Amino acid sequence: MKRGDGWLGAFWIALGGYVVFSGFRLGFGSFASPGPGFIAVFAGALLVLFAAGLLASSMARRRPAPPGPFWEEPGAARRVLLTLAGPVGFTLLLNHLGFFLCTLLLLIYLFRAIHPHRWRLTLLLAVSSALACLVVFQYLLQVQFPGGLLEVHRLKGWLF
Amino acid sequence: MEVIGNLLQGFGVALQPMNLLFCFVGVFVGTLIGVLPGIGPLGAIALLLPSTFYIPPESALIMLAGIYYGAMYGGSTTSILVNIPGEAASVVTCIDGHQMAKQGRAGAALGIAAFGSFIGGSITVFLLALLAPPLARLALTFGPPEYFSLMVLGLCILVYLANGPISKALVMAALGIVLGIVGTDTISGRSRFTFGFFELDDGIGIIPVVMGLFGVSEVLLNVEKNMERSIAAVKLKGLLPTRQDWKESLGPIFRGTFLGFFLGILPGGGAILSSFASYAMEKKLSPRPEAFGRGAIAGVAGPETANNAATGGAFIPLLTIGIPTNAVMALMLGALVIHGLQPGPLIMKEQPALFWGTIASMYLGNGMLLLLNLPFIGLWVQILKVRYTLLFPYILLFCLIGVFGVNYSLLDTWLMLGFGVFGYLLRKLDYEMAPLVLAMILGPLFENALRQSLIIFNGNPLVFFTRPISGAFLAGALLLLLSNLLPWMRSRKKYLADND
Repeated sequence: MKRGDGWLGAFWIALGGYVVFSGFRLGFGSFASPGPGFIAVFAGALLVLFAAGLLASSMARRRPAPPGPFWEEPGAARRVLLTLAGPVGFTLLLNHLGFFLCTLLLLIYLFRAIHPHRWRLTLLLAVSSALACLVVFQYLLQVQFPGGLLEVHRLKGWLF
Repeated sequence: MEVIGNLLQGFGVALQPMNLLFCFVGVFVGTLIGVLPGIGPLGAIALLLPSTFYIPPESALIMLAGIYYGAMYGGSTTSILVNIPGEAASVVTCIDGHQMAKQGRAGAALGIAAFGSFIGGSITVFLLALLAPPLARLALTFGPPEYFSLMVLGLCILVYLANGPISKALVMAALGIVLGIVGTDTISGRSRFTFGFFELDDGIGIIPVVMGLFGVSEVLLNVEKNMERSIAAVKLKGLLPTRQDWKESLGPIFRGTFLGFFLGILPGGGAILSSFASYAMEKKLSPRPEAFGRGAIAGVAGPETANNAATGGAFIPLLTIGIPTNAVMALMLGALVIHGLQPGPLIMKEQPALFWGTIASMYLGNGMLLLLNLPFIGLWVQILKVRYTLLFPYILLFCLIGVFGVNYSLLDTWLMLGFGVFGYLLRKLDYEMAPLVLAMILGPLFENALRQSLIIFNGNPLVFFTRPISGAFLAGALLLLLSNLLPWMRSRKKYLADND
């Protein structure tokens, strides 16, 4: 049994129970005329059943091994959280700063925050990659990313 | 004769300059992602899926198929040189391939892997062309109960073959079905589990889920560890296998071709299973089984051929029955649906250019891969030297761009990040993601087949057991699940006997 298995088993059971309850609320119908909640009831029930089996088998082990640490290497949790902060920041700022600036900042952050590279390499890679992404995705593939701060009409508004 | 005519038509499509270009892009990207550990074919296909909106469906499928079998080629390079599999199907190649590299025979290992993959991939194309039409005719006799039972069997095989505990794989499959329910019910029009987000009315997109579970979570798992890796000091000379190498490899290559192809057809099977099965078979058949694990060339030739042959086999159920057998095929299904096509028995008649063009392109793609992987092996070795600390920011960036570019929706980006964290936590707890993805994609098809069957047969659930083909599929599924219970029952019996 791993650390977290018990909590997760209980979570699956609760989730399955919610799905069964919602399935009945949506309308189970009948076997001859299944309603919109028909499959949800069965899928939720299966989730509860399998999770209960998982929980029971992990609890019933005769000599359960002591659960190991969740993060084995020192600093692992910090690295994971720092990495995750990059795309979270990108998503939060995309509409405000626009695609180009967000890409630039994301790359600079990820090149520096976890295993820091030299500033010169960081800036060279980040600027060239952000420009390349802008050209390829926005201009060649016509993907409509938010312009943000660098949108032409906003710049015009500021300048004139 | 019909097969040859069809294949000629396919070559006519595949040889068009634009399709040749997309085939090359696919095999090139496939080799690249196969070489670079950290992003598998699933992540790469998900990443490039949005870019296929702007090209014809046959070009899209040709490119995506190229990524899939290209990754199988590329994956062997890292297995042999670094002892790190570029993707899961090359895990078994590490065992003997890396030993060969340490003994100064990296060139022979890479060479036989490339030739084996080429031979396996090429024979598979003809098997595919030969078997697809009769299977499609058989599929025309399937009704909703058969489709439902086949999907149950596919899920059970995938659960049975899961690497982790089967109970966890079952939970993942049930969760996948639940996620597949999200969205508007096609019969009643009611919204289900959308929580007021109108973006979810069409269901949770498969791209944010796959990118999160396989792309983001993989990055998080990798940044946790020490990200430096070193390439074994190997000499890349003599890429052409010797006469003795060929003598030892021809049998494994031909056995691997047929084994891989037929395991690839099985729902839930695929490249990973094929490579392991081929290795086990070669070890058993070898007059010198003790050489396996110490640099036996048959241990490279068989699995590498089998995993490539399996990619071809996996297209059969998708293109003839319309059912994906693994998560990569599920994304291919998604790509076809995005283009307004519904894979199934009729696609061969309605879209012959797409069907036969894709098959013929695989033959051309295998030729391109041979050229890419042998003369340019030095280039791939240089790419292997790129540090992961420089690579992972780009993987995350491309995941973000890929997901946002599909619907221009920030909700999709949040969903991807959510599934990324979710996948990371679950993978650390030994949960496998493939049953979830396959169940999520099959979920709506599964629900439609179940509800249609019950409506047609007046709510009689016995119809799934009394119709012969459907009953056989369900019996197979039941046997698989019961066979998994046997070891547990034996240990329980022993435990009770000991306590008495």
